[in-house]
Amino acid sequence: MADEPISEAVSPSDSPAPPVQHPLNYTGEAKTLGWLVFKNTLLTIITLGFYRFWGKTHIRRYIWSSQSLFGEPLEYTGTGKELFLGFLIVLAVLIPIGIIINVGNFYIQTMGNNIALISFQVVYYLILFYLFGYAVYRARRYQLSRTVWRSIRFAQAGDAKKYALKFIGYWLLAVATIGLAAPLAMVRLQTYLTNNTFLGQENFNLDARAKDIFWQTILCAILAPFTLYLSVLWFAAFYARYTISKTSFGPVQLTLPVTFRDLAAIYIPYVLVLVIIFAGITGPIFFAGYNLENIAKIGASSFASITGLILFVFFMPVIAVMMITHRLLGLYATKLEAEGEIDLEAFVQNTQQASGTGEGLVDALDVGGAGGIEVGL
Amino acid sequence: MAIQGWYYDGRSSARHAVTLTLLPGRLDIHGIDDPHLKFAWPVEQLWWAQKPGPSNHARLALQGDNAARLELNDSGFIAAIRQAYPAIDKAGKDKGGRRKLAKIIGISFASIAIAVFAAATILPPFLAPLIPASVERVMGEAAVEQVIDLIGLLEKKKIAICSADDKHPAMERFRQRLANAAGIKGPLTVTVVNAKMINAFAAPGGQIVVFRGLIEFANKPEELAGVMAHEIGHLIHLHPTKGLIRHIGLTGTLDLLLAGGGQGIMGTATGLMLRSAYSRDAEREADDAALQILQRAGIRTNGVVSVFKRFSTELPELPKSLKLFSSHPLSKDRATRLSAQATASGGNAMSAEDWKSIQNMCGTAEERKKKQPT
Repeated sequence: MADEPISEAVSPSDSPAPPVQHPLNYTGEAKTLGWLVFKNTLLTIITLGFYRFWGKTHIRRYIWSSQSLFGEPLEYTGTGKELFLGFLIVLAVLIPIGIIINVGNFYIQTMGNNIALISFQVVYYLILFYLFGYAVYRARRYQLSRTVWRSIRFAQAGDAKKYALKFIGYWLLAVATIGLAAPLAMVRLQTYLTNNTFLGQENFNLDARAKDIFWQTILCAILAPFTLYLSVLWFAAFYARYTISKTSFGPVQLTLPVTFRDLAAIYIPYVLVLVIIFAGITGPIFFAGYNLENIAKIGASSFASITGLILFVFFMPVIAVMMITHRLLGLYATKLEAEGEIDLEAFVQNTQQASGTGEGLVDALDVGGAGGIEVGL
Repeated sequence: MAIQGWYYDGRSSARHAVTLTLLPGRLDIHGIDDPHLKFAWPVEQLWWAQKPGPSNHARLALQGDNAARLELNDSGFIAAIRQAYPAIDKAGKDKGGRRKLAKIIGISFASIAIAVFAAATILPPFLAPLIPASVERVMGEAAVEQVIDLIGLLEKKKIAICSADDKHPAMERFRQRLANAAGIKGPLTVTVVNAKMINAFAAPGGQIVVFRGLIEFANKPEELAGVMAHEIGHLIHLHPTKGLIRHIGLTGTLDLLLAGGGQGIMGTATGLMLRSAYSRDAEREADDAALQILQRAGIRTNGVVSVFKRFSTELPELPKSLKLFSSHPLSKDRATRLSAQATASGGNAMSAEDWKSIQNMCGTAEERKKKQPT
């Protein structure tokens, strides 16, 4: 637990330049995380999916408590019960909507009217996008409200409905402009998220401009097919660097000098490992051809392959958490810098009550990402 | 026993150095620099906001308040707290949380069970008769297309349609005879497809699909008549429509319940298991209808017995892939029922010429060999 020098260690009279600090520290262990994810997957399968709420909570509790901010650990106060209740509520809402949409879709299909069918599907996808934006916002709000530091909660203010509308609006604009408005969409949505993120009563502030990332976005998109999508990693590093360097928290200015090499060192080995394992497992199946009789004949080897495939699917989340989540957390902790004086004692709890249940929609729509772990401000 | 710890009040991030004293039934907290800071936390309302780890760092919180935090770093003190309140390792935010949780889980499992049960048993027979014929037809055509594509994958070729309905006079005569005897409402379509699988199936909207393999397997036309009458029986009882509704309902419900954790496959598997449980009654109903149809058409009913018996005795020697979709398992109980009612009285299913013609619907054996050298 490398205790970084906190403000009092620097004598203020000698140095006019504010001290540069690494505010974030991460002490998690890859094997503990891997084991937690393994246990989660196993129990989730045994319980027909119902354990996942508690499993996700255990994993988050471990990750949160392994991170400290200005020397004090974070605490995750969410519970499996809250996630489960959120799921039940969403289920009660989604089942009727799902039935209406399915039945409607079916009747329109039998009508044979193409215009009606297309407009129905457009409306359907708009609803889906809206729900997606809404779900992302609510999930973030839940996680922030369950993140406690020095007994003070983080919070996400703002309105999920408003964010969902912005989400549809900006991305439709991006589609209509064949992607030229994508930088605008990214920056505006990120600004809404960041500016509504609070610790106690102090909010974060993002001061980003779409024009600053415009050429990089275009370049990334154009080069992607020619660089085996490595340009996406290059852009991701640039985007993280840019947005964090434009993020401030009261008097504190943040920087995150991650580079393409940092991200490549994390993602490329992961992709290689997946490709090697996957090729080793599916090779024999491809060799035998997708024919049930052939598979029966070569019996043992294809049985081994199919078992391997199941194991692969089973262990994929474990590999992902160990090779991606864990290493990204470590990277952010080493790279994140904060400049400016901060009074750790001065944060005051916002009295706004946090919601009692959470995240159901994200779970139902499967928006979670690796084990439902989202990193970042 | 007393140690030093740190206290956060949950209202601000200010850290207060405190003295912690463990007394019988309570934990006393006294501010070191601030004499006004004085609390007594009942031991049995404590819970670990951070369980003691290898570094002996732990964080305590109090039920009912849940916002204030006490940081401590002393293995002896932690052990003393555990001794004073052994249940602390299981305690959480709220009292009786586990019992409440068990109740919630119980209720939700019960409602899920009811939803699955309704989707599988109550809804299909209720909804099936309400579906308009045109919709049923579209559903059925889509289902037939899917199954034929699937068989095509298994047999590694594009499955050709040998003849549909009125384009084949012998099959058309046969179809009319069975349709009239069944008194089936709406159209009855018979499609013969060029696949070696020994099977036939019924689909919503009065559709029957017969595989070439079944025609070859039949020793006499009465056997083919038996299988087709059985499929018409399924149609009379709306089994395919009910099955499709059940499938949509079950996969929809289960996918929604189990999705998200990447366990979509579990939903499908459970759905399959639940679905197969309903096929036994359906087979019995179709058998009874088949016997009636054959009797009314004046066709000997012993063909239906022999063909299903031969399904169960001769099919095991076939390659596995051909048995995969055999949806007519002949249970002992079905066999006895059928044999008890079937008789050798009645006439032929069709003339010898018609039977010959139907046997060659997908081309004669030599023609097929020429087209597809193996």
